[in-house]
Amino acid sequence: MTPAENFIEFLAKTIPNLSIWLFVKILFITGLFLYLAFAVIIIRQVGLMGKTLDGEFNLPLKFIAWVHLLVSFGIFLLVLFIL
Amino acid sequence: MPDIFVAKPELEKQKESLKKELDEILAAGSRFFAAFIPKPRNLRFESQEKKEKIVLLLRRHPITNVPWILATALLVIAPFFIKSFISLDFIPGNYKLILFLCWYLFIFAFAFERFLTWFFNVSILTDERVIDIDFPTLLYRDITEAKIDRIQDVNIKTGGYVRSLFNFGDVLIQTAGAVPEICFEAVPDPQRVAQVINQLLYEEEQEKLEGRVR
Repeated sequence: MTPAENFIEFLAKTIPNLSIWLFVKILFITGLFLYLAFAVIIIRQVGLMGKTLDGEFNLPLKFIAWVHLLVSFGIFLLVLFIL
Repeated sequence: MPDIFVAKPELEKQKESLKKELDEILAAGSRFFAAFIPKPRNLRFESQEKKEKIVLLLRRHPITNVPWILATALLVIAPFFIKSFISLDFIPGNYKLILFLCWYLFIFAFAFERFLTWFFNVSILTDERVIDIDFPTLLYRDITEAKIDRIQDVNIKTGGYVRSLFNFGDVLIQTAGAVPEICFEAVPDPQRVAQVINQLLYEEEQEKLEGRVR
């Protein structure tokens, strides 16, 4: 048995009726929800940076920031549906 | 009728030679990874005036990005190493997939954030001002600027193994303005940057003498 397996078994024995994977799912949902807020902040930051220094690279950077937000949202939905 | 103003040929010549000298200094700059960009095209900054021209745009030397690029590369390959040391069989498949996706999402955000910090933390020399733009944390910016004619002293700080090898360092500009010192950190070729500042300062003095101050 690996140390991780031992730890999970220990938790399962000490706290009756605990579903460790439900706990992990809640952790994932909370973490990704916070991450979505961070992804939105990145979009705002790229906007602020682009406003300060306006060059030809700003559009691709904004695009990357939006793709990042969409991918984060996709993973968030995936967590809700497949876990 | 007597002439009120006659352009002095000597002054004109001097002006021409100054311009030539400045162009020579700037032309020698490298565009490697765009950290030393003389007269950048299609670029404007927020407080730029209509007639103001950007003479030089500086970023931190590209070599300063190596630590976070290496860290990113290590984080990218880390899961493959972890797999060979620790058995992850106890984790259900769908959880493994989400863990994998989240890991790479975090790495991407880390690298993107570092790149943005490098890309937008710039120092700008215009024909009128020196400007230092910093984004120390998320959604926070710090813009320091001083008029060229307020510059009192320009110092260069280099040294150390890496800085000497790749020829980059700090340029410290003492001013008589509200901000006593502006620092261009880890910029490539600091000697040339100081030369350009001195040249601009000289040009500004010439403009003052000729009464062409904006």
